Formats: sequence, C-alpha cells, structure tokens
Amino acid sequence: MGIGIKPLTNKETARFEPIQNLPVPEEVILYTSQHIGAPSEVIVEKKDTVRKGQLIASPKGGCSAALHSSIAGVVRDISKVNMCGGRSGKAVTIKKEKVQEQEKDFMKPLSSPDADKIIKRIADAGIVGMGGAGFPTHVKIVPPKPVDIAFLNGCECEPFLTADERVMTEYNKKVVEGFALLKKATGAEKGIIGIEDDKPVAIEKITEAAAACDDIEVKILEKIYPQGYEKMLITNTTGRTIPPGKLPFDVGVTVHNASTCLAVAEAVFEGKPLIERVVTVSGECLPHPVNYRVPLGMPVSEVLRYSISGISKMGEFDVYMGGPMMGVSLDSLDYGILKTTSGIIVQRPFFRKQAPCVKCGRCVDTCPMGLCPQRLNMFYEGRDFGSMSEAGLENCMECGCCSYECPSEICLTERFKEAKINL
Amino acid sequence: MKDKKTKEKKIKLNIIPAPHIGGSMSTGKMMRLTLLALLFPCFGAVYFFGVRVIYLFLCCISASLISEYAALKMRKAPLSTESFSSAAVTGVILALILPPGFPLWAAFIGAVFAILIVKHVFGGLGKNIFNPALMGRAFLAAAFPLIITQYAMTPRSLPYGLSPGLHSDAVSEATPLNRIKFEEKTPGSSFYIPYLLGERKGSAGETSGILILIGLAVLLLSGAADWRLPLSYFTSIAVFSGILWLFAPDKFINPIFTLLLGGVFLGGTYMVTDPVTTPASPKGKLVFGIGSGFLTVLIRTFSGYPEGVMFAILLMNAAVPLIERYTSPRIYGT
Repeated sequence: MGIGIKPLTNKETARFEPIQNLPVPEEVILYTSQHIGAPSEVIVEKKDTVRKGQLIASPKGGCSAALHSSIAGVVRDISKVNMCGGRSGKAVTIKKEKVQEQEKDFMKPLSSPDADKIIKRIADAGIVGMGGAGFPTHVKIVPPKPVDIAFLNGCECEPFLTADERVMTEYNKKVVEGFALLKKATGAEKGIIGIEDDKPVAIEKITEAAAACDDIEVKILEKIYPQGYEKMLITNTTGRTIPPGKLPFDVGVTVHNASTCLAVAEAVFEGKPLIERVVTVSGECLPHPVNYRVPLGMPVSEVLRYSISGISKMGEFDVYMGGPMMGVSLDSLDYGILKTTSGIIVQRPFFRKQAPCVKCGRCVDTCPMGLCPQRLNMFYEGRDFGSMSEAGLENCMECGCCSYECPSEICLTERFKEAKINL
Repeated sequence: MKDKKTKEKKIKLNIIPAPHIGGSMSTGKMMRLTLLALLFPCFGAVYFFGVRVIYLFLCCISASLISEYAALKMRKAPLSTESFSSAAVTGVILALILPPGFPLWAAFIGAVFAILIVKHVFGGLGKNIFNPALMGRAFLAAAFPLIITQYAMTPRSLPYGLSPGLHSDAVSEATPLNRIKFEEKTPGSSFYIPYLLGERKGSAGETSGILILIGLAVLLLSGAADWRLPLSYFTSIAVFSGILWLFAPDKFINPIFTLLLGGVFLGGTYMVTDPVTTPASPKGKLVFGIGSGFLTVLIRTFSGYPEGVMFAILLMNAAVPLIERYTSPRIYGT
C-alpha cells in the first residue's frame, strides 16, 4: 500500500479565522439531488411563501434526504438546472423576503432521545455526510450489519480547507455530543475521533469535550493526504482493511464528518434542520481567507463578493468547490452552496503540460490504494478499458495523488474517472 | 446587470480537472538534474584524457539532438524541451561509455542509431524498451569490433603523489579488467585509491568513481532518481562477487575491485536509474537492480567478455515487462 502525499497545507491563514456569519442572500438555489440516492420530491409550489427551516422537498424512498428552505422568502422558480460538475437536477429558487428571523419553522428540541428518535430526527433534518460524498446519515447509522466502532473524521486532509477545524475548535462540545448521538443510534460500543496532528488547538478542544465520555477516544493521526479518506482512516487507526467493493460497515465501522456531527447535535437539541454549513473561502488569489457560516443554496458569487474585492489583478481564474485535490471547477459563479461544499477556493489556473510518461514510478509509490497508475495510463492510451479494470481501476478513489506527483503532469485521475464511466 | 457584465469581462473561469495543484518535480527538471549530475564524470573525462574528449562529447550531443529533431519532424510529434533534453542525456552518456580516443565519425553513427532506431522506432520519449546510449554502444561494438578496443588512452597521472606509477605498464593497451581477464594480473590493494579517483584506462567517463558518486548524490538528493535502483544494483554486485571471492579468493576478483573497475559506477548511476527502461513499481526496481548486478558478475566471471555492465543492463531492460507483471504492488484490501 502506498503512502499518499504531503502537499503544502496552505491552511495557516484561514486556520485562525473565527467562523463569520454572512448577510442573508437575495436568493438561494436549493438542489433536490445533492446527496447520494434518489432526488427528494418538491412539496412547495411556485409563489409559495416559505419560512426559514420549512420543509420544501421530502425524501423519496429509503435512501434520500429532506430539504429545507435556508431563508424566509417566496419560491421564485422550480426547474431543472445544471449543477456543478456537469450533473443536472431539479432545484428550488427562493427569493428573500424583507422580514427575516421572525418566522422560523424549526422542530421541537429533544432532551434525551433514544436511538429510534435520533434516527427519525436526523432524517427529518435532512442531514447527509457533509465531508463530500453526501450519503444520507439516517441510512448510514442503520447499517445492514452490526457495527462496533463509530468514527468521527476530523482529518480534513485537503490543503486550504479549515471549515471542520474551526467547527471542532468553536463547537467542540456540540460536535462531541452529536457524535455521541450518532454512536448511540448506530449501536457502536466504541467511538474514535481521528484528527491530524497539524491541528493542535482543535485536538485540545475536542479532547477536553470528549473527556466526559468514557467510550470516546481521541486519536492523533499523521498529517498526510488522503488521511481523511474513510479507508485510510479506518486502516490507519484500527488495522482493519475494507475489501474492494465493500463499505466501512462491512468491517464493523461507520465514519462521520465533524460538520455532520455538529448538524446532528443542532437537529436533536435545538430542532434545527440542515440549512447552513461552514465553508472555507480561500485560495492563493484571496488576500484574506475566511471561514463563513453560509445558508445552503447561497450562490457562490454572493459568498465570494466579500472576498473577491480584494483581488488586485483580474484575468483567468480557477474557482472550485471543495479542496484542491478533489474539488470541482465551476464554469459559473451562479451555483448554490451544497450540503457537501466544504470550501470555495480561488486560484490561478494550473494548466497541465501532459508531457509523455517516463515511467518514473512516482505514481506507484504514492497510490494509497496500491494501484499502478502508470500501467493504467498505458492501457488508457490504448483505450483498453478491460485491462484497466483487470489492473484494479474500480479501486481508484480519485484522490488525485498520482496526478499531483506526476512530473509529466498527466491528468491521470481525470483519465481514470473517464475510464470508469466508459466501463 | 451592467455590473455583472463588466465583472464577467474581467474574470475568466477555467475548468481544470482535479487536482488543482501539483508537486514540485517535473520531467524537464529531472532531465536538467541528470545533465547536471553528468557534468561530474565529464570533468573527470576531460581531466584524465584531455581536450580530445570534448570533441567526442560535442559530436555525440549534436548527433543526438539532430537525430531527435529529424525523428520528431518525421513523426510529426511536438518538439518538446523534454524530448531534446532527454536526447542530450543520451548523447552525453554515449560519449562517456566510449573509449576516449574513439573516432568521431563512428561516435556520430552510434548516436544517430541510439536516437533514431533505439528510441524513436519504439515511439520516442518514454516508449523505448532499451537504454538508447547503451544500445548505441552495443551497436558500435558489434559494427566496429576492432575500433572499439583500439582507442583506449593512457590517463594523465594524479598529482600529489597519489599516482601508483602506472606508467610502467602503460605500454599495454589493456584496461585493468582486460589485464585481469586475459593476463591474469590482479592489481594490489595500493590501487584502490587511484582507481577510485580515476587513474586507469577505460571508457571516457567510467574511470573516476568518486566523481560519478558525486553525480549519484546529486540525483538521489534532488529526487531525480529512485534510490532503490542504484542501491540494489551495487549491493547485488558486492554480494554476488563477494560470494565468488570467498569461495576462491585467488581465482575471482574481490568485491571492491569488482565495484571499482569497469563501468559499474557509471552504469549504476546513469543507466540503471533511467526511469523509462526500468520498472515503475518499487519491488520491480529492486528486482531490476539485483538482476542487473547478478548478470554483471555472471558475464564478467564466466563469459569471454571482460566487462558485463552493458549486456547485463540491456538484458534486464528486455525483462522489464515481465518484472512489472509479477511485482505490481498489492491492491488495498485484497
């Protein structure tokens, strides 16, 4: 098994920036398919008035998630729109009303709920994994096999991103409480909180909050990308490995993101549905990287408005959602923030040279899944997708380590994504 | 609306596939570092064999660059700096492994063969199976078997009394390996230091082990070469020749001379580390190094040739696809 990479973290500037609130945006775009599973079904109609936190789309089927309005306003449009990354889906656009905050449509707080109540509340609040995948949390905590360890993933191994780190530092108690609720609902005996060693303040705060719980242990992990990827995290802390095609519950583990835990605590103890999240706005082009609490669906252009004014030179940019290793470039700034958006990064575009492969083997050294990206690329150049599959293409998690290391700057990860679609 | 329009004019969004950042090493940089590391044995060659060697270098480099240009033009491939710097590396290495007094016209033919046939017939940069410089040398040895043995030159003596007084046997045209093989004259331990520094007969760049090792340090410390290849090669040579030597010390060359003499250091530093013609997987690199070392000792000891580095590495080059097949890393979770 390879070891991953150690890129520059670029976190120093945003790491100490307290989470700031943003003014209520004029408009929000809420997508009905921002989670894994069936898109949720819109239950409001055009020109309906909605309150903040009101349910606007209900889950359809077992694996889906509820969607709530993140502001008080009027439904302006319900239509099929493009989402970032080339997907498309139905979205509800809500226009802001002048009066905010007066009317809130929150649920009743629960004081000491049992497992069933927690699961129901998480489903009602529309909580999904906020680390990136967006798997509905109420489905994840009812695994088909019994689970003995619950994980809180506080690694945040992507460069630039500091949202989870700030959440763990400022809301340490709520994060641990939310994690304890998830652990209880899953029926796991043990809870492990994994944090990378470059976040000493977050580690201190979380350890302090976790001291009250006997069955929750804080583990400090090496700073290395992709430490925060489920499989790496599980293997590096418990020694268990997940066979190809299997999920963490197959080895008795569930993994939750720090922001998800905060959302769970707020849903259970305050009755607040998932209508906002913390987003890092950073990148080498922004003079003042920040962490914002952003209402879901707020357009990227609105979020950037407060940071982008500081850019001295205009010209070509690469703006992407997520971290620099796996983030998706935006072709427009009109997309709304998703439940899974952990950061918006603005940088100068990095055009890859795509020189011929010299077979140096750096990609093989670095691949955390133990694949031979160089070999896969050789098959790709011959359009031999069958051999790629035989060489283990399906195991590729698209972490981007091979592309990062490649001295010939070949778009290896991009090619593997394409090959997977072609299979 | 007006505001938005002016904004869009100023900002152009690019769609870049993830990852949006990259590491610090580039193929061009690897080539430049290799050229830098090659400078050290070049200095040695000029010091020991005189200005004549500079013509040999210029001849090989220009032949390589011209054939690279012609090949790229013929194949309608882009003229990239990577291709040209890799051709320059081939030219320099070829000059280093030829006898210092080698005729320039023959060296020119060797370099053209290396680039046109060995490199570009197989698909150019990154696609060649055999190390072009070594194959060029092998071609010259096969095409001009007499010339390749005739142009050894007597090295300049080391200053400060370091010279062992080689000049008594300077009349002989033979390199130390030839003398051991054919005249059974094994040098004594007083030759360790002069041989390490480079006062011996041999091909232009192979004699000064110390300068080559400086080049190796440059390659390894800058990350341009993988440490597994040279380390496994040198270790394997020391171990296999050591076993033979322990078995019959008076019959076989001791491991120190095996490492010092011939082209072991040069081959282990610049040819075994060629990424294109060696395996990409970590285990494969070790297998390649060990195999090349074993074959080097085998050829030197039991064949009619005094030297085995060239054939050993070329044979292992041919075995790379096989090695890669059996040494790919274990996929996670299997």
